[in-house]
Amino acid sequence: MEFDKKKLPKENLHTLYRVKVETIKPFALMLGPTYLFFKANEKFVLVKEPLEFFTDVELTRLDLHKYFYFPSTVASILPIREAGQRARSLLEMKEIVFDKNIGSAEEDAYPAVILPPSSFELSDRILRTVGPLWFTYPQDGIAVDPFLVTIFVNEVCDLLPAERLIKAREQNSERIDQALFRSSWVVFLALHLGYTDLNVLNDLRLRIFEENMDCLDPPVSILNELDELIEISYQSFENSKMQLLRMDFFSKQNVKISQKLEDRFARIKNSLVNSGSPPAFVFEKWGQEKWGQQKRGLTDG
Amino acid sequence: MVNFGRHKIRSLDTFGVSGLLSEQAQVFYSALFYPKQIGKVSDLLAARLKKSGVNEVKLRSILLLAVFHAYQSQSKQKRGFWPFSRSEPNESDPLDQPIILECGIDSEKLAIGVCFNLSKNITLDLESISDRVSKKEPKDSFEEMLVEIQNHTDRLVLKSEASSRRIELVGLLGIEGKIDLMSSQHREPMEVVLIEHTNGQAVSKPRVYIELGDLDHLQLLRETLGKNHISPSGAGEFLAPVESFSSTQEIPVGKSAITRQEADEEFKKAMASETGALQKNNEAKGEVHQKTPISTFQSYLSQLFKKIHILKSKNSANNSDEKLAGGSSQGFGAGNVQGSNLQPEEQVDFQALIQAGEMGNPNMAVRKLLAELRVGKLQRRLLGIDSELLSIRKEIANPHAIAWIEGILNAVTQERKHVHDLTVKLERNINLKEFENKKKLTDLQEELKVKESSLLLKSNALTQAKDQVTQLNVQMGRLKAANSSSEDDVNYKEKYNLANKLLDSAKEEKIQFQQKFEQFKVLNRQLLDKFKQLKEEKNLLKVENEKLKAEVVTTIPLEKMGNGAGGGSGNSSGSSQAA
Repeated sequence: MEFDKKKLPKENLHTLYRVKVETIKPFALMLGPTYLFFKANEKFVLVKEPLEFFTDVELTRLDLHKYFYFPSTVASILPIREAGQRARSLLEMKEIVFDKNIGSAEEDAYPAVILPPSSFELSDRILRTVGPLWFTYPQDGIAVDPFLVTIFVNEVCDLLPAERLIKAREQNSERIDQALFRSSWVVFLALHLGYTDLNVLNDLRLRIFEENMDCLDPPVSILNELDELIEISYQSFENSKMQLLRMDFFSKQNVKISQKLEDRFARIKNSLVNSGSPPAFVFEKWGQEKWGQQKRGLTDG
Repeated sequence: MVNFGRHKIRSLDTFGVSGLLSEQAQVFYSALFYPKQIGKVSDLLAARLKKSGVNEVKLRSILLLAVFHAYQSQSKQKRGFWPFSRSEPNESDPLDQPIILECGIDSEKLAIGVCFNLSKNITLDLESISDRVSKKEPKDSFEEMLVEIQNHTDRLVLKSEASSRRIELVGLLGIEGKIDLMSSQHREPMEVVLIEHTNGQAVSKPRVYIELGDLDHLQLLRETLGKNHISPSGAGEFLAPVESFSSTQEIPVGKSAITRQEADEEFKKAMASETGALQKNNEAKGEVHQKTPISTFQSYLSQLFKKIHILKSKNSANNSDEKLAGGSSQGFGAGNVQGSNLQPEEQVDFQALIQAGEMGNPNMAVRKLLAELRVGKLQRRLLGIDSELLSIRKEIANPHAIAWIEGILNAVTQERKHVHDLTVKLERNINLKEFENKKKLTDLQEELKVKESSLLLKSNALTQAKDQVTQLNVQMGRLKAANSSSEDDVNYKEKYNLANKLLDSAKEEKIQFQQKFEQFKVLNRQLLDKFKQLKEEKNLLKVENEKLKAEVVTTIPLEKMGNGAGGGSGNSSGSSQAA
């Protein structure tokens, strides 16, 4: 993802957010443009663009600088990331075996077990978590930004495998964004449908990411609900032209999965959609416009 | 084509139950990844469909059987088809895609569909499978399962997609009173439908799809334990003795153990008095009191620990009574209770904490409690109390005491459930609030930044405007200074006036010249006319002269012929004169 503000003057320090280098994991996708402060130039220099990643070698090398700096727009992304963390914590819930004799010589043959939440309880809580990620836009109605979806799903799912990311960067760095957007969008919709198994979501994300990087076509024959979901998510993504992903797209479709989604969206519309506040964004206005133009050009091309 | 009920089957060529039901059907669905808590799913569906008249036992049977078999079939490990066989699936055996459970209902029937992938270990022989299942002559374990499920359904449909080995079992149940169940007693054989490709096909829509998570499960699965009404005895109610006949006190006797209902009422009273006192206190302070979930939760906890404290003290009192009565010294004593399984750090007096103000900050208190719940401290504490009470019960021989402890145990269990429910609600509310607050904070920060930037722009614009004003002032000053040295201007003015005068005189001269020029033009025209007239006259004279010459030439030869030679000199002089 391109970002034009390559350098910032040192006077911008008071507007930038800091992150310790040591807290960043290798191959984690960055939430926004990442800067380093170079003392020699007395300037902040862009080292990573949004959704790019650091390798472990890079992080070791940059550890001397101690901090990475992010523009203030990243503050609006943080709640999205936190929502992702919450969703992940829900999906990670497993049964707890409570053995009161732990540590003693005598083991309890029939220990108490605290079961994980049932599928519908999880589905309910997940919908309550993802619902506020939908924003009401003045022109597009209720929609969600693919960038925010990617940030959210990146927190929900495991990090993409290192070797796959490196290979993707070598293959086509421009295509990575599209692959990330599409795979995240499929996972995001799967969460709406009550898919609450983290392993399945991880596999699904990786599968779509690889298919997009390898320029494979979506499945020709639809054999199950998952195939149908992938098909309709691709259609909606193409329809959006990598801009806002609109909710009303699904009301125009006549397939089973769209009906299911539509009925779930009805609940979001009624009680969960984030309509009071302006949507989160990572780009400043000029950057966003430029980015949109660039992406449109790329899609048209 | 299977036919069941008044409504015709709309379609069978796609997966899902909606095609088997009318357009007004509601379809409840869920994506299942493990069979844990499937009982809770069946509870929820049974509760939701309670008033529809569906046979609950059949509903639960089909659902549980089909889901367990589907899970067994779809899990990756190789094993037999029947559940609970030698190698059972566990948590490390996840499904690669979900089992889709659908339960649709219209005005006359219920359709329960379970869609899953058939294991590669099972050979599906669809040829005459329907006959084998209906005759109860299964060929393999899969068909055994079909026979089993068919026993609980009014109609069974098996949908199969060969290439992906995707299977859907749909069991149809008629609703009593809405459908002629007598006719359905004659069971038709299982319908087998082969599905080819589903892409691009329009599906038969139900009225609504409802994910099970969208149901109000907290309300539907609310437990009613302890709220049962104890019917009064026919032998009358005994009242406690009074001091005098005039006394109107009527206190019933014989209720040594606290019933759950009484405990609830007592608790409500205590809550009401506590909140009332708090409200009064706040009103006195000028604060508006609201009964928040946090305060309720705190009160619940404090009440719970109060009761436990009472229980402990009563137990110790009993013990001392027993000692006084010369009973066994091995009964439960205070030391036994105090030296319980509870760890020292777990013995927290919440009431004391609340009073001490440590939990005065609701957020801190709730965070602390949630942290404890997460790590299982509270759960452990409650389980510890349970085990303690169980041990006490074992040690007591007195049946009244057992009944009493059972009552307390029920109360504690119920309280624990209340606390758990409240905690879940609370955590959800807190999460939502936190998210909202953070969003609001972010929005406010953004707004502030936008305002700051606009302020900066305005201040810049103001500075620029000030600069312009300053420059204008400077220019004005310069102009004023220039006006003060006006000597040159006088000269310029004189020169200007002179130049104007010269210009005026030049203009006048120009006009005069123009007039003269016009006069000359007129004269020139007159002269030209005269010249033309003269020319014409000259031409006329020339013509006349020519005429005269010609006349002269003609007349001279005639005279010569008339006068001879002498007379010739005199005529010639006379003709020349005439000419």
